[in-house]
Amino acid sequence: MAVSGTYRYTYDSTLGPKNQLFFFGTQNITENLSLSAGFSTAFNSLPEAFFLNLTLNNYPDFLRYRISLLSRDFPDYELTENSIYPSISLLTKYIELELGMSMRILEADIQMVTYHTLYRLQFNILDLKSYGLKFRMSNFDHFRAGNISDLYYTVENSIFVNEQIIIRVDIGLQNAGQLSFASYYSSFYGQIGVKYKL
Amino acid sequence: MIRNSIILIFLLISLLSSCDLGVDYGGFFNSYSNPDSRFNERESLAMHSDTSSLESMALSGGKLSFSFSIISDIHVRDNFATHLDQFVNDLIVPGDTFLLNCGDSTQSGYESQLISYKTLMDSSGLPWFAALGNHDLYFEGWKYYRNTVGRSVYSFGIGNNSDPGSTYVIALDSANSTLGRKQMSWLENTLKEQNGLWDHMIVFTHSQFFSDGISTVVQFTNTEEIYKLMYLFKTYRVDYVFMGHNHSWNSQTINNVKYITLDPLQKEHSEDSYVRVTVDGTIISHKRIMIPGL
Repeated sequence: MAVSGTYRYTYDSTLGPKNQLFFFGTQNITENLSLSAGFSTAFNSLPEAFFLNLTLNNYPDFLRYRISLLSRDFPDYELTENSIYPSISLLTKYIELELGMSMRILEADIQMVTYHTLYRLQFNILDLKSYGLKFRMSNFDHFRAGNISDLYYTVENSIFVNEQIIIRVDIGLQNAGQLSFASYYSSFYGQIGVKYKL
Repeated sequence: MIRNSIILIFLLISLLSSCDLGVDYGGFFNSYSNPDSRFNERESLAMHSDTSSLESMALSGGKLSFSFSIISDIHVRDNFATHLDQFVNDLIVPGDTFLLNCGDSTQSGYESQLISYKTLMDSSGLPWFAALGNHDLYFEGWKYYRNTVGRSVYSFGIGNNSDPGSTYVIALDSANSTLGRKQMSWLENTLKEQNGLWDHMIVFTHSQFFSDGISTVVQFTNTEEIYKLMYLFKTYRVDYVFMGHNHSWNSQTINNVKYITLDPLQKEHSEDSYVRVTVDGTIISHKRIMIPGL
């Protein structure tokens, strides 16, 4: 089992700054099946997002299957968003490609269901004993299932302190409108977190 | 191996370049202008048409009664006919008071395309107002749009705000799939100031809020920005939000706000349509009008 805690600062050119805390844990149920769950808060008293996901590995060893449930509450906007997204990943030593689909249910005065494509392309650049470096382009993670043009470019640094502790430092950029070829770098984020293997 | 890859990439780029798509691939990484800079310029740029005839519209039977039409995604190209000609020449009803256009007026943002578009719109004889689309920004298109068409963010009233049927119209610039901080702040202030003064509020912009399916590849980028806008439109009782961009009809009513994504007015599209909005005092309604293929 492993538990993680992360602080993320986001600056969006339209919505302004945002500070968030994320907590999640992962438990291996069997050798190939694991369960993760977590929540986030933007320094409010209640968590604003929950996720739960089930991951199946090794069928065959270069594929990974995942199904996630994500609930995000936007109290300021009086709206709740619930998403279900299955995805499949192709895993190689240097490149990972994940494709998925989200079914998003918006809860307002009516319930509206929309469907979106999710994707993640990751380059595993360095994999040393005490340091790992990755670069990824994606429009989703555990706590976010965005629109197709909600693309983040992220540099992920992992520092392996010892066998139990990993420190993660990520820096990311987002450019709005890139899939309509009128791109504009509209958001920046940086996050620092610790993962502890029990 | 590397040499073959380079040759393949070169051939691919050559092939794409030879297509008459009019798409600015450089815009994948960065575009010439951004929403904040365009917002800063708005006061120095012209309105697309004179609004004085709309502001001073006379009452009929103690109320304002009028109609107007909304079109979207015309994509005017050089030497390429669109449905705009047919729309201007045959489909505008005599009773229409003005026209709105939800953007992508041109395919590539070229000055020649903007002039063709403006000439056609002017020939309608009606005041017209457009939203800026992502295609209008291609190839540094803002340089020409700002001089040929005018500002990208504005608002205007129809009638006196104490009249039954008075209507307030807001044009938003979502050509980069986001509004930017300054425009968002302006929108919040404008909605707050105008709230309760008018019988009807209408917003029109280019990028749409909702996905039709997993094949939808264009939309407002940030979901949280969409949710904030939906909250503002609900709070300040906006009647209609008209959008384009996706070339696919979509109509939703959420929290009493009607969100309509229009069909395009492109020649080859099989389901071209436009929308006519009718205001009859305190009653506002819309109708989707289909256009047969050329």
